[in-house]
Amino acid sequence: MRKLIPLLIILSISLLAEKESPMVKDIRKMKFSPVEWNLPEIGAEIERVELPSGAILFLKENHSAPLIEINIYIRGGSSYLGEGEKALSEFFARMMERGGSENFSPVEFAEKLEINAISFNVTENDYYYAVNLITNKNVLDTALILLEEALFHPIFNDEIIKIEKRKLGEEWKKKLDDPNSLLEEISKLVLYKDHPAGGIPDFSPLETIDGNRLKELKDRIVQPSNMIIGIVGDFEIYTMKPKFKRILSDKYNSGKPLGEIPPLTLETPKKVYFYDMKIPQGYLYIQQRVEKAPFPEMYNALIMSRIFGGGFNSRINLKVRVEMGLAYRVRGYYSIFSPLCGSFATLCITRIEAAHHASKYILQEIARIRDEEVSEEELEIGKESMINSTVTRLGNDWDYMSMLLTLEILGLPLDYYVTLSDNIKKVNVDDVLNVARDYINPEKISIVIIGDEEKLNLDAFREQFGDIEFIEYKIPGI
Amino acid sequence: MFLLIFLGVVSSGDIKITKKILENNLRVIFIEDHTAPIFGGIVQFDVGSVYERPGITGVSHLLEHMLFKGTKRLGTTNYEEEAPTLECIHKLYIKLSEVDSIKRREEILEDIEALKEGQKEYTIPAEIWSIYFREGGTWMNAFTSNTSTQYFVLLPSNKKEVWAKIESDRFQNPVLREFYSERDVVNEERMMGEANPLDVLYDNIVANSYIAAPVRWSVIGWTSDIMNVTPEEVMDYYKTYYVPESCILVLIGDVNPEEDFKMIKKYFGKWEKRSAPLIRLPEEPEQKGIRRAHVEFKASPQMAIGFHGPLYGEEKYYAMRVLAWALTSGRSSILKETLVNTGEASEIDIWEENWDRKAKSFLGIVVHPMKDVGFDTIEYEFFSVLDSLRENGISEKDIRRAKNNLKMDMLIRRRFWYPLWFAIGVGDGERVMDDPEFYKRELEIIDSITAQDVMNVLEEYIKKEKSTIVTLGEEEI
Repeated sequence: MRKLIPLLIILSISLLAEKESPMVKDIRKMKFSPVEWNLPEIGAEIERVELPSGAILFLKENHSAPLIEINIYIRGGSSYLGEGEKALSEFFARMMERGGSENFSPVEFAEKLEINAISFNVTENDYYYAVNLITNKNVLDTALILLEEALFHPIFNDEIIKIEKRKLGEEWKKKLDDPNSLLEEISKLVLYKDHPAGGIPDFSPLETIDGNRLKELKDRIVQPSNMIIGIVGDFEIYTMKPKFKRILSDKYNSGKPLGEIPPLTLETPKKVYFYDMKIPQGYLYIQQRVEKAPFPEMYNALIMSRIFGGGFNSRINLKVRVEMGLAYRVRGYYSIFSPLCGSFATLCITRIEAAHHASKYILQEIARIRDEEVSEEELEIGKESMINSTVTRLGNDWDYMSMLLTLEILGLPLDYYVTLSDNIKKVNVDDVLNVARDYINPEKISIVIIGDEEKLNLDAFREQFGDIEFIEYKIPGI
Repeated sequence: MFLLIFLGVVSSGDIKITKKILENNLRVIFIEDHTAPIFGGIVQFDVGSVYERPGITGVSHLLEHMLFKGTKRLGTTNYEEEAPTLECIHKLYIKLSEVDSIKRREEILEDIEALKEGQKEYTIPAEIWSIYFREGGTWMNAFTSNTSTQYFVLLPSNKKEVWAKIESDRFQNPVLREFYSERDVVNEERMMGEANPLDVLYDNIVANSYIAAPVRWSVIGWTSDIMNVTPEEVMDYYKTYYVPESCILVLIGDVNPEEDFKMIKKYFGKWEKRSAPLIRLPEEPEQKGIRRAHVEFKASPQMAIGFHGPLYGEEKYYAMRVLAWALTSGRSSILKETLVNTGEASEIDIWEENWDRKAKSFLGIVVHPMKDVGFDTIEYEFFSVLDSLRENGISEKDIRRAKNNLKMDMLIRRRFWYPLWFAIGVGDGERVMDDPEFYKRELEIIDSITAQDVMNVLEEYIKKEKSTIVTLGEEEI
């Protein structure tokens, strides 16, 4: 087994620390025995198999509990569909989960799952459908029968369609009652503007939808050649592999092309969007489309992201929460994993009368990360935290497997996490400054604000950012 | 037949748990799992909002926030030099609370800001986070409940001593720096809950269900209490309840009980032996008659129907859990078949609160009616289902499904992904039942529950005249 990540014991290398407490001085004097740990290696502890059908299968045994978790990522989702088909895409996922199959009515299907305590969920994630199944190993064969039924033999009964689309509509209404979910939806609307993954879900086409349209989607999307599967748990690889070779056989490939995800330009104008909601706080989401992985400076971007907004000791947290006491929740990040675009974003939920102050401080911090070098201490904390936390972030097979599936579906190198520490070590102060200057552009930043128009100081926002576009988020057809 | 087929569906693996006690009565629990060089450290205190009183509601939670602000040796370059500034800031805030004149208030605030600038020379904000981040910590956080306060972090296992050093200092020598800005932060946290319809519904049904037990106010407290509580009150509360006898350390993962206990003794052994006062909490009287409330809220209609239940740990408590899961767990559950699968409700959830035996347990069933379906229809259907169960009994299949899913849920939540969650549960077992392996007993009890046990609970607790019904929406439909 190749040694992949020796966990560094970085002892007191940061001699340039600005301020130190007596506690930190004591900790620096401590000696730690080295911890040697290796990420499970693909080809050794983790088996990656390309099945004859084109499905990619990852398997990892873990016998710590009598459980098996199966995750299947199926390329598809609203990004691959037409404009206005976002609701359809979500509804399709729901019907895969709940619609029943040729051999089991929806009620029988649910009973079979539930009497055996098998958990089965299908969700839509813009560019893939995520199927998650967790089962006790004693009923694995039953679970696999149900999985195959749901994936390849679904029925789309008109009566069930009628009930489920109404329920989905009600769930959307509830989602929009919660300002957190609403902010997430509006921010996505802005981030993916003019792309099928964006837009307000339109339920009107569901009024007339029938089983044939869903079957068309199933034939186009649910093909083994579009699937990436990760299995972790209490099983033996040599027995599990043939089961999946059979289930994900080539006979289920319809040969129908999935299509491509339309590209998304990184060009977006600076703009403020406002949604009026009578709530006691202001909800802010400040974001910009940025480069997605892979790009040469992505490790620099990750460190920059940590210093700017990652965690309670980040710059925006120290300013907005600790110093000013303006918000309980404030965080920022540079997210690189998406086939559409990366995003550099800050979320802040703040006192309503001071929301414009909070946004001003956040923008000041954005300017500062572009204008000034980060300190050596900030850099070292950022780097050490990423390197030393490798084992606490990835030392769990289930977490690591989901990360591998993401790499695989995005076509990224599977050794990304293996090489991450070495790549992080190389980042220096100039790299952080340059990546901020090259990729973050205040002229392309948009701001979404949710709050009470009568209590928010919108004029202060206008002064800072210019015109405000008032938006509505009304879902057609519900 | 179902019984025979599914008896073996859910089982739990073996885990080695060791309990040790320091001379000051601080309890230490080790849960060994050497699969990766990781360890989770949890510090659990037997204090939560039930020990508060009107006027200082939310103080347990505010104290939890304040214990991230450092000590005399953490979060400061020099406490002796910093202390006078902290004292001056505090005195000015007292003065501010006594002054009405806008001009004078502005002057005081300017003085405070000037002092805060001076304090920056010494204060190292969020230093505890920086240390843990730097050492590879993840999942760092804390939470306060009605009955406990818990602090946790996941670290590489070679950093156990860093954890012990920080945590022992943190809980023995706290300094309430940045008190006033943090009080504002906590109030912002409270405001977030006020915008969320489900949070509002929850607070209202609990407040209406309990008239005596102090679970009736929310953990976060009332705004007026949060914004007026003083550092002295918080410090008094800390001194009263943060004592070794009320503290449990749980170490999970790559731990060695013999070796690590020596290290724990080194850092926590000198903590002065003290006990928290025995507080007699008001006992909730029997509910006599249905209670109703409506919350005006601009949101889709939702309703919650709540019942008092048996004390946590009693066999009847688990019979009630089995009943709750038979009613609501999964699309083939009894209530979902009647309300959701027919299109009258979009979803049904449950709230189960055991209150760690500090009050009668609580079962809340939350129903999200579909458009144009009135609360009265849902209520009628709901109680008709219960009446039908009373008349016809509950099927073995429903019992088996509920038990399997309940045990699977416990297994998944406790073992599968989140070692910290499991460790917190083990600590809870020790804190509440004096048995760190109580989770095993729980699984055994659940297995032993019969249909008759469930019917008995239905008869004793789940009755319309003992229910509390809270609806939420723009209008009472």
